[in-house]
Amino acid sequence: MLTLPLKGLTKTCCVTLTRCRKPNGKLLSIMVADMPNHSLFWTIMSPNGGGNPTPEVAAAIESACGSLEAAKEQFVTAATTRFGSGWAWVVVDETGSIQIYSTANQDSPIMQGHTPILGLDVWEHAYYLNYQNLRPAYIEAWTNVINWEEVARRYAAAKG
Amino acid sequence: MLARSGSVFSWTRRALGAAAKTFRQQHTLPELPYAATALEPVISGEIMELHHGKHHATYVNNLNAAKEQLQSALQSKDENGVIAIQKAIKFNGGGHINHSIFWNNLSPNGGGLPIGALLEAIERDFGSFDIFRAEMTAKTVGIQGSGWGWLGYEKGKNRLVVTTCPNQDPLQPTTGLIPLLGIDVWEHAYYLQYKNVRPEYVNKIWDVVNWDDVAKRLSDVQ
Repeated sequence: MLTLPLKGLTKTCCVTLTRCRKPNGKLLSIMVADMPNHSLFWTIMSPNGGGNPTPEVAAAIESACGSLEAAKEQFVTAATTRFGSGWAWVVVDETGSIQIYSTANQDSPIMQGHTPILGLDVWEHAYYLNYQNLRPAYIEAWTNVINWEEVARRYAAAKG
Repeated sequence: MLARSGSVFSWTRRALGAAAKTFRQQHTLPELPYAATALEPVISGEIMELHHGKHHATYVNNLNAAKEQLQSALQSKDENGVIAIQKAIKFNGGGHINHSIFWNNLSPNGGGLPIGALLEAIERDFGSFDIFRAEMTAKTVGIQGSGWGWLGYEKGKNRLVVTTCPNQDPLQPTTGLIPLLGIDVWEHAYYLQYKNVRPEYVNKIWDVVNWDDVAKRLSDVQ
């Protein structure tokens, strides 16, 4: 299994690596993005999580989506309607604005120049043992463990 | 049952409702050809009940709903609507097609080796059964994310091919190949029993492959 240090993995580096092939012809992307995706995932959850975003993040979300409720609906829809394996994301895009969407498999928003600040794994392995086929129930329950402090930290870093 | 008012309007409304309901029930969940526990220890009864009774059933229900939306969009000449519903039809229609094949591809009396014309075709196109099995296992295990491994038949060249499709993309519309044998490697197909060890599941599933069904699918198209 290929291992890479997290430190120094720039956006360009990730995009380039996801387009590389190993000598035996296998795509690297599933492994390269797999690691940063999950590394982000563990940090944006907390047993003390849940509640609402911090004021700065809330303001950014409201600016992009109209309201927190609309943003949540958009996020839940993205997570629910990702057919097959993938992730739902809240990102800071190239203009500094919030976007909410899903990607397939282990594709990362970094591949399109966006900075993820929150991600939800909707591969079946993420929820099947607890929720079986009931992905919507998993998504709803998951909002109770979001670590909004970490999301705020990532947002501030993305905004520079 | 007569409408209370007996008016033409009520009759028309009931007739349209009945037609819509008939359309909604166009696709139905096929029954498993064996008990849910029949494929144990290869595939647990718990997985089979969820996989057939929940996942496949959802594809059927959502396919019916999507086709209703399509019908409505076609009737109102809503081209955007027609285009917008294609993704749901492909996903749920593919899911229904794929799983309908899958339940018959497996059998509690399966396993062993194919015989006759099927075995001859496998040996002709792959060299040996072992080489074929190794290729199909490797390609199926290697699918990124969700998808299916397939043994397909290429009618124009009269040959067998091993390939894969992502998600629920159905083999025939996607590649032109006729599906003979499919292996589902969506995590719901194995996770409760095998966890992340997909290779173990794919290696074990050969013990329940219904070669009679695979052979019939080939002879039906030759």
